[in-house]
Amino acid sequence: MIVLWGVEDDAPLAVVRSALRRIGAHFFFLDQSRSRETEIDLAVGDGVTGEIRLGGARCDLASVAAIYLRCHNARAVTPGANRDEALARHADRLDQIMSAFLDVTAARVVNPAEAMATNGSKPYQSAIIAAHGFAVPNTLITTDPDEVAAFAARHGEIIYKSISGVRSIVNRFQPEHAGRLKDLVWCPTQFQQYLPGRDYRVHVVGDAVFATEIVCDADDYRYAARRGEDVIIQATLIPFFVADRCRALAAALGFALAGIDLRLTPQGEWYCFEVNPSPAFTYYADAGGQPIGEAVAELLAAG
Amino acid sequence: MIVLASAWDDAARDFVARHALAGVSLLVPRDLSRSGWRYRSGDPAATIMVAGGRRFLLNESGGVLTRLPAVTDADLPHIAAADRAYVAAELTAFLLAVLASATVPVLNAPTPQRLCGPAWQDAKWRRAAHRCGFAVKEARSHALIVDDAVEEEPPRATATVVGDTCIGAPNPVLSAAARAVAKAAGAALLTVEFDDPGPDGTVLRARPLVDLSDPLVEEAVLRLFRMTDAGRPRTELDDRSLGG
Repeated sequence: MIVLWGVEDDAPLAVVRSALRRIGAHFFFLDQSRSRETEIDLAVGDGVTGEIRLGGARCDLASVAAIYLRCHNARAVTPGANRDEALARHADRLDQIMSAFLDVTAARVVNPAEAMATNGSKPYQSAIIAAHGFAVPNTLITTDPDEVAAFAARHGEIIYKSISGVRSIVNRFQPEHAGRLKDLVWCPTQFQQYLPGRDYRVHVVGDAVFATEIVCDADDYRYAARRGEDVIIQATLIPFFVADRCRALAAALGFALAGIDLRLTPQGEWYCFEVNPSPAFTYYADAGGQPIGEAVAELLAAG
Repeated sequence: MIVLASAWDDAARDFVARHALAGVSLLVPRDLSRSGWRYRSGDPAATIMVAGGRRFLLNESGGVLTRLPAVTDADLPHIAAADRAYVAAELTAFLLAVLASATVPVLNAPTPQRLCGPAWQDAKWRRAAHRCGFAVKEARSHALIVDDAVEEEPPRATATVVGDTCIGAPNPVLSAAARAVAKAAGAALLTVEFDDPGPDGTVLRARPLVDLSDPLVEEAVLRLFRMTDAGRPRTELDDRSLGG
């Protein structure tokens, strides 16, 4: 049995669900928005057993071979939980027991919470990336404006972005931002050398590698459309050694599915910025015409 | 030695007070909002910390004793309320990178989910004990629509692991189980709870924190950090004001 954990309108989950149907794989969709109808029993000792009940459907936890997570905070996606504290607590409890199950199950988990957490600290993950052969941008995190000035003098152009997994727009540091450096004292802030080049998003699904090229002039292509700038996403091929490095990096991080952000500089050097453990791959797959959802479904079906 | 803890961790504060003369300093989340912090990718020797009113190179400290699972909103009363959740996430992410890259001892070593060791739920501690060859009692948990009341079985015995030492175990079997679970979790500091003080007692759960008010635990922790090394003079980087 395959378990899909998330919400109905999540695009990657919907694509994988459709792909599983096409290949005839049995799956159980644990829809977090239906907390009101969901119950879970879990028993952990010499083995791991239990059951999920959702409406009239049941899933024997001992028979679960693979799980794909696109989960949210169940409390936040359960209708009425903001007005019903007992329902909200029940939703929390469902999340907690599912997390406990994922921690101890022998099933393939795409991806385990402990592995996914590496993405919660970009400099922490960057150190792992560097240890696996990719170049990473020189990074400074500081509360000291003088350090920033020295870093900018050394690298010319620099950018700033969040340290944590909280999404932020990557921005180029401009001279007019200097007046705000006094605010650094409140929170260490991450600065990186600016690297010109072409962006690539590489999805690794098991041993399969799907590369897309992103043509865009913005510092952060994810927000280019909002700023009226064009973004072109197209399927492409990357050198074998880069694909191998991506596979090895994803495996080292414990990811069966990963979205890896690369940039190829004009000097021909491949930099890696980040490895996303829960990639919204449909954004790239739709534009590039790549069967990433099908690959995820096959990975899950293989257990 | 640096003790990283919440400002409300009285045990940490008392421990630091008892050993301040030996060079032990307290680092609380408020200290991260002071000028002078520096972390450079690929250069752990360059990391500068600010704690106890001083700036110093992390690798010139005797190590870090971590007792803070994560920075939370509650740790940041000096930050505007609307920004606290974001700043808490940023500070936690920053500390993980700093601690993970340190070349001095950091106990417990941080994990991506927790700044002071593994963030395991009870079920995983029991599975670890089972894998180490010790008997475990089945733990049942449920989320039922009509009754979500959860009762956690209280411990009837505890044992504290500090490095290779086990303190307070009521018998050799539980001592061996505690040390085995700590080793499996990669936790140098661990408090393990059992359902029974007899040799048939089984692991209920564990916490990657130890009771610093227990003199035996305190002595073992200090020994682990090799306090003589931690007491060496540190480089005062400059005397500029630590703003913030």
